[in-house]
Amino acid sequence: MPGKMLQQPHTDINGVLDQLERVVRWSEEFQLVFVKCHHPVQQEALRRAFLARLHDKRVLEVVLEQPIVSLLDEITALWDSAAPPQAVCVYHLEKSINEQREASPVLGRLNHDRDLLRRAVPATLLLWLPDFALDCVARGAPDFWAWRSGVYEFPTDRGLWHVESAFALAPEASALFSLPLEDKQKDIARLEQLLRTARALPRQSKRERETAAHLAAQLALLYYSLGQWDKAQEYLEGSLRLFRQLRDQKGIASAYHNLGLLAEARGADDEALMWYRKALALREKLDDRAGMATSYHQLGIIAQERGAYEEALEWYRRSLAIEKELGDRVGIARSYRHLGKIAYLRGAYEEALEWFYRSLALAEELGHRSGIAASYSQIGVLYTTRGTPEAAVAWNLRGLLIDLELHSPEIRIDLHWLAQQRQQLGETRFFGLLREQLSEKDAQTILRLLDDFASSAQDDAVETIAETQGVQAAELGDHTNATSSEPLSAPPAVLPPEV
Amino acid sequence: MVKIIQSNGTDDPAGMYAMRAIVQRRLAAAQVPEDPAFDIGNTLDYVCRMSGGHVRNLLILIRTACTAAGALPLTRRVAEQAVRGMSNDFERALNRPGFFEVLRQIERSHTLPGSDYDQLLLYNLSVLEYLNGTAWYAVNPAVRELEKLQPTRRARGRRSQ
Repeated sequence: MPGKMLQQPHTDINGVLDQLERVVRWSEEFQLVFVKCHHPVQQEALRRAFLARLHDKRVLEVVLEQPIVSLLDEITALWDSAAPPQAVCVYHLEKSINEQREASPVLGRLNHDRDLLRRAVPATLLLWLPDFALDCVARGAPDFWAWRSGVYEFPTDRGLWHVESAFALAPEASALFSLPLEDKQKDIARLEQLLRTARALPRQSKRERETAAHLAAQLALLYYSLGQWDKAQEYLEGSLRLFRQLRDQKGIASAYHNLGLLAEARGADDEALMWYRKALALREKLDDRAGMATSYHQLGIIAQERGAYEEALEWYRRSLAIEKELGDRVGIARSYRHLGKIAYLRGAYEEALEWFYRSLALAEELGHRSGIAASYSQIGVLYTTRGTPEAAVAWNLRGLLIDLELHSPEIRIDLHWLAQQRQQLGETRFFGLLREQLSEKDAQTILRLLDDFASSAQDDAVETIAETQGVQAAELGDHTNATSSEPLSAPPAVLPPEV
Repeated sequence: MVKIIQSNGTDDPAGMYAMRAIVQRRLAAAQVPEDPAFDIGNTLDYVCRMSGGHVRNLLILIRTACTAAGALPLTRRVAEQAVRGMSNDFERALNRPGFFEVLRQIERSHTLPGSDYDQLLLYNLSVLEYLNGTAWYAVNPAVRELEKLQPTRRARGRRSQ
């Protein structure tokens, strides 16, 4: 990442374009040129401007939409020997630089193939890359890097970064949890790109550092929603560091709270409690009402898990009061669900069911998918433990289908209760109930998932499910409108994180 | 590698002559007299010195300066700009704090300290090896320009954008 220089070279976009044009026009043989450009949208505009300047030259464009191993193969496949290009522009090589960073296979091949490339490409080869990828090439393909004729750096378009960041941060955090897996992955890629760009911005303003902190926090929530705790922790700690530097008390409180969620997800309840209390103390000091509601809520969950139902009820009621005051309907739906849990745990099943249905109705009205799934699952759990598993199957199945779509960590809870129902009902009856909701093929897929879940340790099963999730969800299709009877049972403790 | 400096830090006349001759021959081949090619005599010397005696680096610096300037003569300012660009490029590969400690040791002693990083720093040309007579080592002049190797100077900016 950027270091410090004695003096900042003067760069402007037209000046860099002038230089790039000269680089191509003044050479008729192989030369290797790197073009630094952070932002995909900015890159597209610059690419057009560059090609317009070279309208009289033959320029081959190689767009690497998917990861590759051999750049030589990609270029030679497109090379026209009858009308050889005078310049070759390669875009998105960074997509081939994976989590192995400088150890990515494509870089090893570049290092190995540099002389072959020189012979195969008697033209100016321009690799357009963001800053992090240039660092990876310098470290991971040092021989290839040593052959560069120059590195031409476009200054980052700050205005564009601000607009894109504002757009990326616009969705309510609660909505992030209801995104399908593919959208979550796209959001992660976009946020990580924006965060990398932020790190490369020289002389960041306070507002830019605030934006970077929020980008990191948003990334943490997305990783949390996918059950990737380590990545979530990394980004949360990064956002906390930035909020502390900025003395942003509200941001610090939010980071504390989310660290509590992570600790809770990992089963470290005492640590979670510590974080929640720290967050609440700060929020009360700031009179951050919305923040206080989420803190109350999570403290309620910890109390509930410890069997302190009266205390939990008190936290949930406090949370609900603020949510109603603020008109936070997602929060209200969540509190209803948890009031239902307490009623259930105290044996007041009719009351519990009423809360669950109220929560479900609100979540459906809001289109809040993870809330809908949670309510479905709660109702299914209630019916199972009340000894009516026939009524429960459809509910837990519907919860599972949504959670698969969202790639939610709740999948394992749905599978646990479906496995219980299968055991109680017997194979034939259970399969028959699945078939009432699903096609033969989809019902078989559910059985395979349950078999995998039963035959391996729980964590391993979740990994397997995660790996196959894309296939399974596609096979299952959208059955969330399947009909179901009323019903009830013992709810999972994990909640969507603060939002 | 051409030995362009001596271990006491002064220019090596024979090495500098050889580096200048390389540039002059290139200019002659392009039918450009030396006088209009550089603004003042010591601009060429500056570029030769900052290449560390590495011929490829010399040509990268000249080429970068030419494309930045767009026309001759090459000025001292544009030559310095080319060197800064090269410093930035070297910095990309120097991603571990330990690298800079080793570089400082080499800068002081002109020997390799026997660290795990010695070979890597030689390989990526951050450290140059001069072999005529007794072998000795120097930090690449473009790397020496990096702020991280100059703790006594005040930082004035970040890497270029």
